[in-house]
Amino acid sequence: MSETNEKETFASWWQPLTRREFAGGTLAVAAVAAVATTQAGCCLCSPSKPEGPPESESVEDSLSLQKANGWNIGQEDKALVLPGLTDADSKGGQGWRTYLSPDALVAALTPAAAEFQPYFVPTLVQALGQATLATKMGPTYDESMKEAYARGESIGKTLLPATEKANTTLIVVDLPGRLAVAMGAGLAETAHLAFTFDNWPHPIGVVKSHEALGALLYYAGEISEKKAKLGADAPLAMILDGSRLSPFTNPDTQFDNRYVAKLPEPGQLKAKGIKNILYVTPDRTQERELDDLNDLFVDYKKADMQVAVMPAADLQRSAEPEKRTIQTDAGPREVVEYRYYYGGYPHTHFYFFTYYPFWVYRPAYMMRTGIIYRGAMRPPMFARPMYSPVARPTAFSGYRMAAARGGVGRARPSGFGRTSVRTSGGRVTGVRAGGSGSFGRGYSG
Amino acid sequence: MALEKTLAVRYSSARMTYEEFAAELMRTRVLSDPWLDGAERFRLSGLVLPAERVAALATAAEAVGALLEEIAEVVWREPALLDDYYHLTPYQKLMWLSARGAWHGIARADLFETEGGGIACCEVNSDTPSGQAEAVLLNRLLLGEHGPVEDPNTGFRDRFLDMLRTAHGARPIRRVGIVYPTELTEDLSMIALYRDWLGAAGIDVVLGSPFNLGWGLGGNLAARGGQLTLLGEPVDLVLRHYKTDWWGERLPVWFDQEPYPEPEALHQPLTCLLQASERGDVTVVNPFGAVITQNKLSYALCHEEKHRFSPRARDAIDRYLPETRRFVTLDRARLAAERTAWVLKSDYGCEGAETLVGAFTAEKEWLDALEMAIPSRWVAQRFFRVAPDGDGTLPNIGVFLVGGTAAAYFTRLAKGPTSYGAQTAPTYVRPQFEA
Repeated sequence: MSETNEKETFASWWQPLTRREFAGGTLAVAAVAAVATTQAGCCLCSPSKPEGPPESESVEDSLSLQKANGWNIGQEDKALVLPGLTDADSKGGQGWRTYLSPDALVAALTPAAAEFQPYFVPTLVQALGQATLATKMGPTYDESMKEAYARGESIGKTLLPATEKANTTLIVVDLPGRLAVAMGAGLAETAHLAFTFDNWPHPIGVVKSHEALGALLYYAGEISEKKAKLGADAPLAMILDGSRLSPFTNPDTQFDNRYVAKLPEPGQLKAKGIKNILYVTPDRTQERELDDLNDLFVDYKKADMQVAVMPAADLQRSAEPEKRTIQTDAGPREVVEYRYYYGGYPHTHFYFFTYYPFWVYRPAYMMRTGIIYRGAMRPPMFARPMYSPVARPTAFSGYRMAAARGGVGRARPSGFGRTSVRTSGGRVTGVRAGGSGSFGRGYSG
Repeated sequence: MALEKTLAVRYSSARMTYEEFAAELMRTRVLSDPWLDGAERFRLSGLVLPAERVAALATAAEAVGALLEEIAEVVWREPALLDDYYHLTPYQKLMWLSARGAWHGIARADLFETEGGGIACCEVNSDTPSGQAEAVLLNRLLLGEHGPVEDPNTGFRDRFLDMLRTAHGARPIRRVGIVYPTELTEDLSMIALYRDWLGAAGIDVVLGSPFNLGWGLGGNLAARGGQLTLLGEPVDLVLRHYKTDWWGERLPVWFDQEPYPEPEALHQPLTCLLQASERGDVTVVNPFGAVITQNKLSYALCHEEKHRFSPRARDAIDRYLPETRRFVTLDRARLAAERTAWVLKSDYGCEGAETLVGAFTAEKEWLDALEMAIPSRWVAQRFFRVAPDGDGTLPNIGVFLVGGTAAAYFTRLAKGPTSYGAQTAPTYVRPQFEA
């Protein structure tokens, strides 16, 4: 019948497995130390003398105690353990010394965009105003920070540039302090950072916020430089210390410097055009928000905001190393590094946008990411975290304050971030944590 | 082409009564619905076409098929079009990129003879074409009623099976999963036909919906790895008769339209299938790249961006594809004034659904549509007058393309736009010596 029978069975253009490539082929993700020996003789913590005024015991706000009596109240002679202490900052120089001044560090970390400045919490940085702390501090850096930084870069350089209206999403990085800082530094080129570290370090503090402070010193110069180049439409990333709620199990050996996170209310975010929350957790062992965020995240959801969880560990190191040039204070330096891809491979990286569709993905922008991409998209070897904020009873339920003053606010439940002290004649004579002063002889109950 | 003007369609009388035909039809156990809403679904008098006419239809359909492939190339080279031109949703982009723009296994080009004697292609169903059962069985049942004619659809089954084997490569096809909307009955005859064809070829068949896809023997959709399964049965090839726009996010096309009850993309079934396909474990026919070729904005791309196409493709555009423009580029007042000159089509509407032929639409309804259509989701296609047959019906000759070449013919007859209620007639070829 028709000429079809005399022709090729199938059209010459038809290839059942089309192997199209993208244009150009390039497109192309403590335990607390044992109780230290309390040193008698310190004016604040010396044992009360039998002949002095009578002692009274009370429970005080830990941060207020530190501000009034010193950051290391009760443990003045105890060393501050700083894992990964180094002598150079991320730029390879000594610029970090500048940031031992709290004013300089606050200036370096304050978001460049005025609208986000209320969300920056300078409490931890202000602790450097304590000379005895500043002299003990230095930059810290280790392999885990290197990894977190690379993951931050992966989001900042290869996911955000491939999206449209990235600033409609608030990124909430909730990792252990120093890792949160490192990831923030990796993001700093493309996102405004608002650090929310709201406590002071303490030698036996349950929250090792001095590690976050060391990381801030390491990256401060870099963050300061990067933020100066940010566009006004860059998204906001809020950096939380995920160890802020660390288990407080022994009031005799631990100082309770825990605190609750401060994030903006739904109305504030929506007024800035932010409709979505990307909540970054360490890994898949944590697939929902920490307890202090539950009420707020449920309210985000009630306000028709999308909240999604992304485990940072889903950004996995590529098996293939890449050379690149980095700028140091001593000039450009070539380093061999491993990129981090969503799912571990270039071909799984952009699957991120399938799992998190509120970031509107523009394939045309893939060129901006510099990812060598030579194949079809494949799903990573893990599923999208199935998460939606659901109200649950926590120690923090119902403690949220209305943040009517334009910033962010949150109340703490009783017994949280507090420390038992004994006072005599208006002076602290002993701190239960670490058994200083009269606590060193026994707890009266 | 002069050939296009030389021969008109011609119907031949059938002697069988409709009741006799209906009994025969039901004995096929494939087509079981001779009546639709009390009206006869089929016309027993077939469309008998001269061989030259069939060749011209095949040429037109194949040219349009090749044009769709060029559209796929153009869009692949310029991914910005996915957002700026097509406004694809995230999952639609995922389908396109994961399939690397592969879109074709089987398609149906809907062709009309125009009053000017040419051939026009109003659209191609390159996603989930149907009508296969009608094309094959109707022709077979009524062949003896039409004298010395040839059935152009006898080779359809073999071509189709060859296409599947070619698509799957050198590996054997042991079991095919046919994935379709199991809650809808419209295309059950096609599913039954496929099942019969595959079964006769020694290939096991399992039927199910996207929600029945899974991994491994347990068929767990949330698990990862292992063999892709449909209803727990491992499959080598998936015949996808579930529209691309149904796999993705479902969004209204009218401003006043209620949101879909379940607007979310079928995330797990889709990613499950894409992953298995990318690993090479499973072949998907049609591939998910049809999300572009099925989109009516592709026809607008042909006319608005004609410079992007090869001379051969431009010739096909000029010859077969009525002028099509994106709604967003047209002045609404002009469309209102020129109602009878345009046809409104939504991006993924098929046939009667979300298609308004101005010439057959009341003015108020037309104006309401212009007001309520979400502009980025619609095109306007130039209306063309179809040459009617003797009783005033307008033949729509669907040419099935298999692997890019014409493989079967499927005629529907309607007084106006072709819709689900159109009558189907068998299609035959008059041997050349008679012409």
